[in-house]
Order: sequence, then structure tokens, then C-alpha cells
Amino acid sequence: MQEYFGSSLFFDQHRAPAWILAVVFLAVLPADRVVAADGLDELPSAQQNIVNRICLPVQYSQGTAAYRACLNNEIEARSSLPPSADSSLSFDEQFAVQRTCRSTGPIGSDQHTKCIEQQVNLINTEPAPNLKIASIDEQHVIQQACSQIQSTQGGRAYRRCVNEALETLNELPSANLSSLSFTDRNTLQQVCLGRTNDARDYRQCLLGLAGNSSEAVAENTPTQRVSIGTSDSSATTAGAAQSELNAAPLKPPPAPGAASPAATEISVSPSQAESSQIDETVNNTLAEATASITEAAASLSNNASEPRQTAATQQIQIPSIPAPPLPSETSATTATSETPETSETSETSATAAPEQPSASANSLQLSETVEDSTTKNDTAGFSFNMADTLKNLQATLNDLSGTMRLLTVAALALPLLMIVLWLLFKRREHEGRYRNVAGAHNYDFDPVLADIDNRDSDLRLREQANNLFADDEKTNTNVETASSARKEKNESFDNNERHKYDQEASAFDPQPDYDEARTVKMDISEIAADPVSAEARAPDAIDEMFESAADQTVALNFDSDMSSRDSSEFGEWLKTQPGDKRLSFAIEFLIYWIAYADDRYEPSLRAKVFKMKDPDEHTQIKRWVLQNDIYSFSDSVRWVQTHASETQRSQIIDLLIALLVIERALTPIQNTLFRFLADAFGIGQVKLGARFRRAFDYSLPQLPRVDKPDWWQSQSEEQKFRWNARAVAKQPQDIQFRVKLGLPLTGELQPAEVLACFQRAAARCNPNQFQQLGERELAMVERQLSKFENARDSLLEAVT
Amino acid sequence: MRNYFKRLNLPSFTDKESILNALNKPGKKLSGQGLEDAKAILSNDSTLRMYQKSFIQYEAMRAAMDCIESSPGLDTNHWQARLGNFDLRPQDNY
Repeated sequence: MQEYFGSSLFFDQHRAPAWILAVVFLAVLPADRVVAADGLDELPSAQQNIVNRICLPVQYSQGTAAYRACLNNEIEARSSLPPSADSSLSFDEQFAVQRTCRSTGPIGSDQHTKCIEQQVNLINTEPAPNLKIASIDEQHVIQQACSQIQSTQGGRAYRRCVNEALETLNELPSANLSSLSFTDRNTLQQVCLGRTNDARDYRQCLLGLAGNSSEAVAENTPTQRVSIGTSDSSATTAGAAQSELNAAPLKPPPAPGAASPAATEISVSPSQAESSQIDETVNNTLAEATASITEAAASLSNNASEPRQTAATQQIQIPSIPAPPLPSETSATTATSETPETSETSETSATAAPEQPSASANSLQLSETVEDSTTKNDTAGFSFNMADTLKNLQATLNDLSGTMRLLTVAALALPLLMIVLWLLFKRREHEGRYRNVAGAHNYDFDPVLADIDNRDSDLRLREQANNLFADDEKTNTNVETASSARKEKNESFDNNERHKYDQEASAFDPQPDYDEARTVKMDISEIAADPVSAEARAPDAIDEMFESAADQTVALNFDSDMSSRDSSEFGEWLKTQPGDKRLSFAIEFLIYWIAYADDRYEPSLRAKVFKMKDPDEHTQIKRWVLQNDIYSFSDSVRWVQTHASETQRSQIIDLLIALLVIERALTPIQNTLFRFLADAFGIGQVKLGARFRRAFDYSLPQLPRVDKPDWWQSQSEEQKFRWNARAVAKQPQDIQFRVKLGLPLTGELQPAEVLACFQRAAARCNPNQFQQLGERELAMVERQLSKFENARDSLLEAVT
Repeated sequence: MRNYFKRLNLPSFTDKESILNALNKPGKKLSGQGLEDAKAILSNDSTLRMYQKSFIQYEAMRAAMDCIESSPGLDTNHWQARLGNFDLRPQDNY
């Protein structure tokens, strides 16, 4: 495991976790470390402490930016100066001197230097305090008690205060806690710290709770029981909880160095129980007592309005222990609330006097001398670290302001953003592999491509995919299944908008390029086969009258129970038709659809279609087409795909080409739709290309990109004219016939040229190619052939 | 084919004035060369008309995508990728 984490493989494969670790590392740095200015480490340690001591309050009161500015100012002022006169003093005394002289002028100025010298001389009139006679936690208490004097009255007064406190301590015996476990010792210290800020009272508290008297102790007892008398059911109050512990002298283990007991039993004497109205004895472990203290501390903070009552209770319940004065409400709350982890004390002390060793730190140091590495201690240490870390992080964020906070958030968010991008990249890479695999599958069925491109298939597919996605501008390529799209169709289809488009569309004519000729040669049979076409010549007034009716028809069609079916109206309708007509109707839909897509309508025809009462099947199909019902289109394609044979599907493609495509005038929409139908019918672009070349003697153009200006620039004006069937229909017949056969629009035609084009057109209409289709399809092909014949005859007549 | 309407947050069928307004105030989804192309295509009547007609076909093909995905369908033209922008959810087109 260690090798794994230490190897580069870990970082190669887990960059994201590495970033997370980096973020966490930044987060756990203490606030002052995060924002520490450069150069601080170059100062002597005493100077560092002073600078920190001066600037930390600035950080908490004015924010991180002010803190950093303070650091820079202090560092700059001190880095170029010789050691000052106060360098021989202790840190706390130096701080007192610096605070006093701070207002006299900048560091290094004459006034400031003079002030320092004066303060040092004053301090030296007091004997240097001997702090060694006090324990570290007692030193902390002394320094805390004298901190106010330190800040306001100068170094001499501070030293005097310390000396006086030490003198009082010297009158008391030392509290020997070395035999207690870390947890026990820490608990006692916290309780006493929470009760007083006076060194003498603190030591008395320790002496009382630690039971340094010669009370009996059950030696070698694996579990020392604590019998804590509770005054009443309200023992969970702070005062009661503390007094419980106070009333029960802690009995140290019999021999120093012996294994600490897992629990300690504290007994309350009958007299004590009586005096404190304790009428029962309960067995409890020290851990439970600690928990009780914590709970009591919480209660204390919640019942701050009753401090006097609590104090009174303590006085009553602790007759054998000198009752130190109660600490202030704030200190009590702070100290007791963090008793198990000590983090609050540490934090609070750091704010007021950061360099003074906290009780928790003291406890931790003491714990190193006692071999008591129980799981409980580890857990406590872990909790301490976590709590401290979170508080540091929170303090840092809280103290940041304005731009710094924004920058910090950005700095923290950046790794997360990179992780997200990394995950997206991995996902996209995975999808790309999937597409390549899918593409390889398709091209396996493409023998022509395999022949013309023998490069490594992966490389070829990758290039093709790159080209494809480059064209699509790397847009969203997530493709949902069409079935899901079908379920959403009713939500997505905007009838009004769609109809607005329809209104702009021109009239429908599946064979518009022959409109003019049909106007002349229209016969009864053609009218019967295409009644709409016959009505297309109705006066425009009828069209206008029908507009509103058409609107209603469209609305009815789209509102009619669309949500309850998976199939379109056309799909449902197709199911009800005779079996031998379904394929024909599906083909008819496709013919009309492709024709309408190229605007081969006259505007008046659309109105006629919707005006007709009791429309026949063909008119009904045209209505669906005119509605641009894309789901009818999908149902039509699907029906052919699933019901027509392979031969029939191929012949349908040939039929659509023969009826709709004019030589040299394959429209972009035709090109697109034929490619799609060829794929849907299992033919593929290679076979489609082969059929196209056979039909027109030139290659199928590339898939059109009507969304790209470059593609449009590559199209000639003549090409655009040939696409526009309605514009062609307005030209002289000669031009229309030339377009019909794919001949040049201008210049003298040669008979051979005309015949060659006609032969290709006739070949496309060869009935033998459509033997698997129905009579109606054959009839349409024959009619198309007659149009080609008419064009040929007219053109030959003109050139001969 | 790029779905300019979607990127301009326009309905699939809208008038030219709305299109021009959207082109003058494009969102973040359309910028740079894409915006220039959109302006060139959608500002010209003939190219806009062809684009709108093709747009319908792409929507129709999108609706019929299951035919490409199911046998005997093929995807030799990469329809799955090409039609990805033409999902029919209204919130994507508006």
C-alpha cells in the first residue's frame, strides 16, 4: 500500500484525489500560516512572537488583509534594526514593553527607542520571576490573570503581578497529577481552569480534586469506581455537575507508573452526601462524569441567568475543598464547553495571549510522559485535531474580506473545477471510444470503403470522426433514442408555429417540374389519380376562404389524442388500412414528403387539401405531409423498414429517385433524406452512391451543409436555380424541358445529347426495377416516363 | 448541421425579425465563427429558407432515429452524431 501511494502510478491514475488532498492541505493550515508574510521566519523567534502577538488581534478584528499589512509593517520595521534594549526580557515582558511604547512612534525612532529603554529600566527594578516553580498550566493561569495589566500598565507592573502570583503559589503544595491518565488529568485541569483565573485558586482546585490527601485508594483495582452523589434530579446543571466532581475526590492509582485504570470510582462520604442532600450513590465511570461535565457546561451556558444559585450549590456541596471564586460567565462557558477536546480553550487563549501555552497543550505535553495510549485518548486527539482544523479554516474564511475572500474561494474552486473537467474528459473519451466502435461496426458492412481505404481502421475512423465533429463544432452529441423522442413529441410539437411555417409554404405538387405541361395535357385519369392537383387550379378566392378552415383542421389533427399513442395519426391510420395497401401508402407518404420538403407546392393547393370533405386516402396522406408531421414521417420510414423486404426497400429508393430527382438538380434536402432512408432501409451510403451513379452517371454529392456559408459558396447559381422547382416552372417550356432532362440551360443542344439524357431518365423509370412494388408505384413511374418522353420530343423537335 | 435556433434560444419556427434580433444579441452558446456563420445563413432569405426546410428534415430524421439504431438500419452517415442537436425537447429550443 505504501509503495502504491508513493509511486508515480498513484498520481498518474489519481490526479483528482491528489488535488483533493492539496485542497485539504491548504484548508488545514492555520489561519496565520496561510496569510503569513514573507520574511517573518527570518526574524528572531522572540521578534516573531511579538510580531504575531501584535498582529493577530488585527487579523481577528480587521481581517486577513489588515493582518498581512500589519505583518509586513512590523517585519520591515524590525528586520533592519539592531537588537533593542528589551531583548533580554522574556517574551511576555517584551510584549508589555512594546505595547506601552507603541504609541510613542515608529519602531526604531528615537522616541520609541527611548521609551523602550525606560521601560526596561523600570522592569529591572523588579526581580525576575521564577516561573519554574509553577507548572505550565499554572503559568498559563498567571499570565492570563496578568494579561490585563500587561496590556495596560506596562512591563514593570506585569512582572510584579507575576511575582505576586508566584508567591501565592509558593505557599501551597504542588499538585502531583503525574499518576493520572491523560484523560483524567486533562479533565481536572479543564474543570479548574474553568473555575478560576487565579493561580492560587487553580492550584487549590487541583489539590482538592486530585485528592492529594491520604485518602484510601483501592490499589491494583482494574476499575476505580466513582460514586458521585447527586443532589437531586437536577444534577445536570452546571453547578451540580461540577460539584459532583468536586465532591468526589479523585483517588489516584496506588503506585506511580502503574497502568491507569480504565475508570475511577469516586465516593462521597455520608457526611458529604448529607450536607449536599445527596441521598443516593450511583456508580459511574470517569468517562461518564466527563460527559456529565460537558452536559453541565452546556446547561451552564444556557442557564447563565442563575450563576449565584449554582455557586451557592457548590458552596454547600463542597465542604472539604476550598471553594475558589467562580470564573466569569464567559470563561466558564468557554472552558467547560470544550472540556473533552479542549479546543475552545486553546482557541480563546490564542486570541488573548497566543503565545502562552494553553491548558490543552499542557495536557498534551504531559500526556507524553504517561504511557496511556488508549483508544479513547487517540479519539480525543483526533477530535481535537479535526475541531482545531475546522476552526482554523472557519476563522480564515471569516477573516477574509472582499477580494481576498473571492480569491480564496476561486483558489479552492479551481481544483474542483479541474476535477470536474477531468471527469468530463474521461467521460467524453469513453464516449468517443464507443463511437469509434460503433463506426467500425458500420464500416465493416461497407466493402467499397474498405477497398478504397486500407489504412488502419481505427485511424481512419478517428479521422472521420474528427472531421465530423469538427463540422458540428463539438456541440452536444448526446443522442437519445428516438423512442424517447417519440414520447416527448406531444410536448415539443408547436402546432401554431408549425402551422405558421405551413402558411408560408407553397402548394403541394409531387411532380411540380411538370406543372405547365400537365396544365396542357391533363387528362381524366390523372385527375382521378391526383384530385388535389386538379383542384389546384381553383381560384385564389377559395384559398383565402379556406385558410381559417385549414387552421382548424391542423389544430384538430394535432390535438386529437396525440398524447395517448406512441404512433402518429398516420401510423394509427396505416394500421387500419388493408394489408395490401399499407406499403403503397407508406411509399406515397414518402414521395409527398420529399416533394413537399422542396417547396414543390403552390400556396393554393394546401388550402384545397384541407378544404375537401371526406378526403380519400391520398388526400389524407397529403394532409399529414402538409402538416409537417415529423412523426408520421418516422412511422412511414419505420413501417417500410419493418414490413418491406430488402428488395422492396431498394426498389423504393430507386422509385423515389426516379420520381423526384432530376438530373443535375439533386436538392440538398433530397440528398439528405435519401442518405437517411438508405441507412434506415439497411442499404448504406455506398450502395446508395452506386445506385445514384448508375442512374445519373455522376457521383452522389457530399452531404449538404446548408448551415455553412462555405458550402453555399461552392454551389453555382445555376445549381441553385435547378433546385428551385417553382422558379423553373415559371420559365419557358424549353428551359423546363432542359431542366427536366438535366441538359444545359443555354446553348444549342445536340440530338445525341438530348437522347443520352433521356435514356438515363428512361432507365431510371424502367418498370422492371420495381417489380416488387405495387401497381400504383408502377403507374407513377410510367407517368414520369411519359413526362421525360414529352421533354425529349419537344427538345428534339426544336433542334431538328 | 448546426442548430442555430437552439443556440439562439429561438423556436424552430420564428419570423426573420426575431432571428435578426437574436443574432444581434447572441447568448454564450453562439459566438465567434459560429455566430458569423449563423448571421450569414439566417440573414439571407434564400439560405434561411433552405436552412429552415432542412431543419424540419433533421427534426424528422431525429424522430425516426430508432430506424437507424434498429436492424436493418445502418449509420453510415453518422446520424447519431449529426442529429444530436435536434432533440425535440421544448426547453432546448426555447
